[in-house]
Amino acid sequence: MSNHMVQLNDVSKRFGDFVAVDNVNINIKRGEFLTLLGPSGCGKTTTLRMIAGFEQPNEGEIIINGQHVEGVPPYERDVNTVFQSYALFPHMNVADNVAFGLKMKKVPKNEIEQRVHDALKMVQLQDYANRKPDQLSGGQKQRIAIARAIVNNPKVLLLDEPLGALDLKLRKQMQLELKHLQQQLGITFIYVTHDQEEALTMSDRIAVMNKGVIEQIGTPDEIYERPASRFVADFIGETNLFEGVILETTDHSSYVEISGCKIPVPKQEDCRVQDRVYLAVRPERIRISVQPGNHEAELKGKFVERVYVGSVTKTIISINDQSVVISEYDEMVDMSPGQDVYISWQPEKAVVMKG
Amino acid sequence: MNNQTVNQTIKQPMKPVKQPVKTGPIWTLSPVILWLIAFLVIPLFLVLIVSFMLRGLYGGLEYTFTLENYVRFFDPLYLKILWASLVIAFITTLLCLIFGYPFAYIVARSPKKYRNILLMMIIVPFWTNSLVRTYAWIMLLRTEGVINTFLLKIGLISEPLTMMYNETAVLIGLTYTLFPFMVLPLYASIEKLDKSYLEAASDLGAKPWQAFLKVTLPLTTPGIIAGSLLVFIPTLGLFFIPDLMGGSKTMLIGNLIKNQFLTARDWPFGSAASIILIILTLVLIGLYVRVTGSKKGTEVI
Amino acid sequence: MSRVFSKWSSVIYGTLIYSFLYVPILVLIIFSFNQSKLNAVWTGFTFEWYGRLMHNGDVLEAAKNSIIVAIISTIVSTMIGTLAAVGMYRYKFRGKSVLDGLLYIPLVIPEIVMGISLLAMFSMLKIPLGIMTLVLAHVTFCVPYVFVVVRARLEGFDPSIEEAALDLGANEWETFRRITLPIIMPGIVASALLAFTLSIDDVIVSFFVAGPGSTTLPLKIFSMVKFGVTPEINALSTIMLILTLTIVVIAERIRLKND
Repeated sequence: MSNHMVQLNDVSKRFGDFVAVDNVNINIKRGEFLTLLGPSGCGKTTTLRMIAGFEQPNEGEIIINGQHVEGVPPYERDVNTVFQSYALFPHMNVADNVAFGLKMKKVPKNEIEQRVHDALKMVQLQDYANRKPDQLSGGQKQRIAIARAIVNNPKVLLLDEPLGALDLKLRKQMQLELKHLQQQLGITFIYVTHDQEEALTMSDRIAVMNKGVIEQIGTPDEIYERPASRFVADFIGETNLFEGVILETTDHSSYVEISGCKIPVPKQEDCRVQDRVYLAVRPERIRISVQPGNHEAELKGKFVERVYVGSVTKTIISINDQSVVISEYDEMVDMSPGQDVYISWQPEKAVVMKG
Repeated sequence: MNNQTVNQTIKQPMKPVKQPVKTGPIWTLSPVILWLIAFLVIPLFLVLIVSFMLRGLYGGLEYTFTLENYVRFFDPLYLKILWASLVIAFITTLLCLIFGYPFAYIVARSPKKYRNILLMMIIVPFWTNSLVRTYAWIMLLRTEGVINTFLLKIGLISEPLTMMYNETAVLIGLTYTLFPFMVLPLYASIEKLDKSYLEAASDLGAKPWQAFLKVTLPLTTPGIIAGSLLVFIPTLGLFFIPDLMGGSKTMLIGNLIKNQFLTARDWPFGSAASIILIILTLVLIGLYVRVTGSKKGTEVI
Repeated sequence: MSRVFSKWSSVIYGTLIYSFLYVPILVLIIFSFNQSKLNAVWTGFTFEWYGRLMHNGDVLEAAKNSIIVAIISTIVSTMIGTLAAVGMYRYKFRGKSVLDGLLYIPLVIPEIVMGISLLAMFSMLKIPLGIMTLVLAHVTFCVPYVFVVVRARLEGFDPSIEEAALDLGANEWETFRRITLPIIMPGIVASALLAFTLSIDDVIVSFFVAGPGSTTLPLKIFSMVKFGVTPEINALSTIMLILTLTIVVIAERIRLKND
């Protein structure tokens, strides 16, 4: 399909007995910013390296820009990588580093000079051409690594946790810069990270991976508001998971029994009565009060403690030995440990997933 | 739209991807493999074979299979030589260890700005010609040597001391030559020791010498063993020190082998002795590997 | 943090040991300038013995042999050892640990065994003993040292640097030539210098594989010592010491500078 820049069809990769990537299918669109998100060991980096050409899949096809690339070495792919450790050549200065890819393609000298200059300008380091890598700060090395990759006008840019070594403020700044850069260049970006906030900030779409499998692919909004599995719900942002049983389904909604209460939830098409399910409700969607209200979705619990986290306060209560976290912002009512409290939320803001 | 991974219903199983042939290992490693096979493995193998042959009439080889050489080795005469070699090697190792450990410790704990120079001053003897260094001691210990001349002159003794051509001289020579081989692994081991272990011990009430015995010493055992091995094994083969300093009375296994090959021209017997020496070496290394559970620390360099 | 040894006892002990290590050598060097032939009492300063060396045909011949053998052995062993280090560093394959062990063998077997085994093989193959056999033997014990030094250098090498080169369009050979080699060059040079030293200073292996017409300097010293102690030997030894010292210092500087 001409709309897709990168296709992975049934790709698997094993290291000995360990299955790193298990039958992964994904189509990445031209010009999109797609993030592979997941915890350490989930297979995201291996997947990226297979697209780059540093690993070969055991099974499956990888198609880049319409061409099969299984067996094709990295230096013959129209793909460039920004490495986690930057991997700048220590024995060359910045300009030679950035020019390297162009030299390999035997681009004429004056063209190289111009393109290197433009690339450095794009990352705002045009005065650093003669510096050596060990004279640069982490953030600067990062930018040079990016410049070195994009100067080659690759069809796809792969980024392997490039911001991991930077401090928080710089990281947030770079996230926005990278996003703008991608929009400016229009290149397809495939980004790997374990930081879900980062993924939500930068991506057009996110592929959440766990144990070699893609759990869900979707826009940040879809991933956050409608997680498809417990893993995704748990990994992205914070969430509370309530165990329950389907009671009935009407025309408008379904009902789930949680802790002896009948809770309305979004209508579930493919659930039958007596099915065990989990209800995921995000802490910021929950209201808490010391009085019972007349809410449709309401549960009773006991106050445990409050934890102050700066811009938000996490209020922790206990329902049947389960900890439930509520986010509160200001105007909090005083509560004492053990006191009865009531939590409620809007039924359509909760997500049901299979047990 | 794409909220789930798409799963096509029935599909052909994907053909496994052909992995590209790796030529890298071949062109980088074949030179060294070929070389070592030609000039290390095969020669050793030859020695093994020859050890089962007989000496011919004129010093050549008689191609028969026999165990006679090995049997001959178990004659008390030769066993005594083997034993003497082991004893001397052991004493040398012990001397190096006793004097070397404190020394390595002091250098490892010296202020950083001096450490490089101090280390360099150990490394230089390590690399210089051991024959030259042996010669230096011969010069000192001879009957007409520097020490005797000096002592005679100042009247401390009336007759020159016999310091050469005995086992003591050999021990001095061996210890002197092999001392850096003990110190360097010890130094590496001590230097690598994480000081926070000692701080923890101190924090928990241990006095310095207690911390040393219970923390430093056990944790530097790999260095001790490596150093001991690097001294013990070469001692068995360093024939020129007993040759030059031991006189005719001291014959060690190294000298025995050399004699068999060059003087007596009894190559089969010399080979048998060599094989025994190799086996001894392998046993020691095997013990080392077993005890430390890992590869050698020859990264002394 | 209190120390096991007091500062003073450390200094005293250290000085004693360093004296033990260096005094004999210093005496040897000093006496190479001694007028007296007896080599036991200082009678006066002279360069006579050095002069005699320069006219000693045997010594000059041995020096020539030593240098030729050392240069050739260094070049060959550095190439083989470096390639081996790169190969072992980069690739995983079956039997890798076996090869690793094989590479360490020359470092641990007694040199005399290496010497006689090579002698046995050379004589069986009717190869005459000479410069060539010396070179073959020297390369054999130098390669593991080169390997270990270069390998150590590679351990700290970030593999993603090579991957970056591949990613940017360089094939394996170009990556090696333009990226890997320049970066590990200090290690290679240091190991070459050490190999040179090992070759020049070798006694035991050379003893068995040198022919009558291809004596090396250490072997010449050995035969000179057997016949008696003269200041000429001191002079020769001093020259060898200085040579080795210079090379080792340079090699260590290179190694330490780039760590």
